[in-house]
Amino acid sequence: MNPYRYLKALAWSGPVLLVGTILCWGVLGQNIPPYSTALEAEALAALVREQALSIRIGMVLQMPLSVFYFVWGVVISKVMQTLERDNDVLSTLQLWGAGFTTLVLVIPCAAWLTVAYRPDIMEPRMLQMFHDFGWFFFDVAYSLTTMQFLAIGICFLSDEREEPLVAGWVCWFVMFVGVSFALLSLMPLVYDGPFSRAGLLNYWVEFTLFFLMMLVFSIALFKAINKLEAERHAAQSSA
Amino acid sequence: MPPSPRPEAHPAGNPRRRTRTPAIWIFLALDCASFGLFFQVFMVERLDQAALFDASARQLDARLGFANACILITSSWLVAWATRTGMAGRVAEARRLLWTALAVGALFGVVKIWEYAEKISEGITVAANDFFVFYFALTGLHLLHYLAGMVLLAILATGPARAGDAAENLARYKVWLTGGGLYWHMVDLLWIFIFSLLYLVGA
Repeated sequence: MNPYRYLKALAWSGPVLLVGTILCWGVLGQNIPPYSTALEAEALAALVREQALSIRIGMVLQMPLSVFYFVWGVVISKVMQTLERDNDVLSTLQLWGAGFTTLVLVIPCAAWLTVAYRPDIMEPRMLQMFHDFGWFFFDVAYSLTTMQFLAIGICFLSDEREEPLVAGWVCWFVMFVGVSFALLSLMPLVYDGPFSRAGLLNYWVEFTLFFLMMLVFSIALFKAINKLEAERHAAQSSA
Repeated sequence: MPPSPRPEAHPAGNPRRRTRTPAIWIFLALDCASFGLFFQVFMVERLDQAALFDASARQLDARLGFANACILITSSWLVAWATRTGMAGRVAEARRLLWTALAVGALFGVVKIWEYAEKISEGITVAANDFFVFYFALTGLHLLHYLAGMVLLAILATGPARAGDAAENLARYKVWLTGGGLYWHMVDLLWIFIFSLLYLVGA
């Protein structure tokens, strides 16, 4: 019996999602950087009309791609379960957090797809409303991801190996990124400046942190799976 | 969801570590860097709207900000004392000091709630102007850090775990005591910067 079969292959879902999201949601979806919140409805509608096809292709690709986040979450849970002793509450919280975050990566894309579907005949204020809805869902539902990141950090910090599966600094970094999302609560309260959805703090800093976390933790996850496999082989050899 | 079959958490022959460097340093460094960035953004925004920021700063009560600085410094001093005592193995004394630090620290929350209520009753909210966006953002984020710190202090004040190996529990407790103490000092330090930037500059 090999409890780690498929894990390493499925762990690639994290890096694949990371690159795919930057290309589909970011570049094609016109979200690097996103349209300013300060734009009037007519100005926003004009920009969306201009880039409608690109946005549509980006969102159509991003929606199915987002399932990779859930796959990544399942792999993380399986690795976390090797550390859990008394119960599996942390890996369960992580898994549900990953599942709900997947929805956060899917549903707003449907809103932005709606916006780009018939922008020529859509009333600008209606278009602005759907566009705003997408962003509120995308940004302000952060607690689902924060829960996931805290569960990851706490679980891997409990590892008592001399050389832990995931380094302590990675755990604290993941938890820091999760907690830093609290700043997104200010996004619906302002229309411009650093806390707006296209602003320095709530866009550039927060999204950079999220993508950096995915990169750092993907590497840590591969290393953890390698360590588990090495331990298993060592145990089998000595048996 | 039932737990799935899994291998042993700690395979035989894998040495368990009794102490570890408090990796919380990375969290603290990132947190301080984030606040450092917030302070820089605040100062840049301030350059554009100096008159508005000065007038708004005068609407804050610097005495309340100062009182909170004194409260956190006192609480931080008690935690430092508790850490030193705990590291020397005098856990009961460390716990008493932590409870005292917690009681003193609770006053910060009381003053903060008083201040927020006062501002809101005067019609000053996050939507008032750009200064108050920063005021509520920075003090609100700091308040979240403070609340997490209070929970951490309360956990530490209950002492090391009782079940299992006492020596191992004490070693682990010392690590968390150091980490928790460092975190609380950071909460204190951040408030001193927030107090200076929001309450004093321009007032």
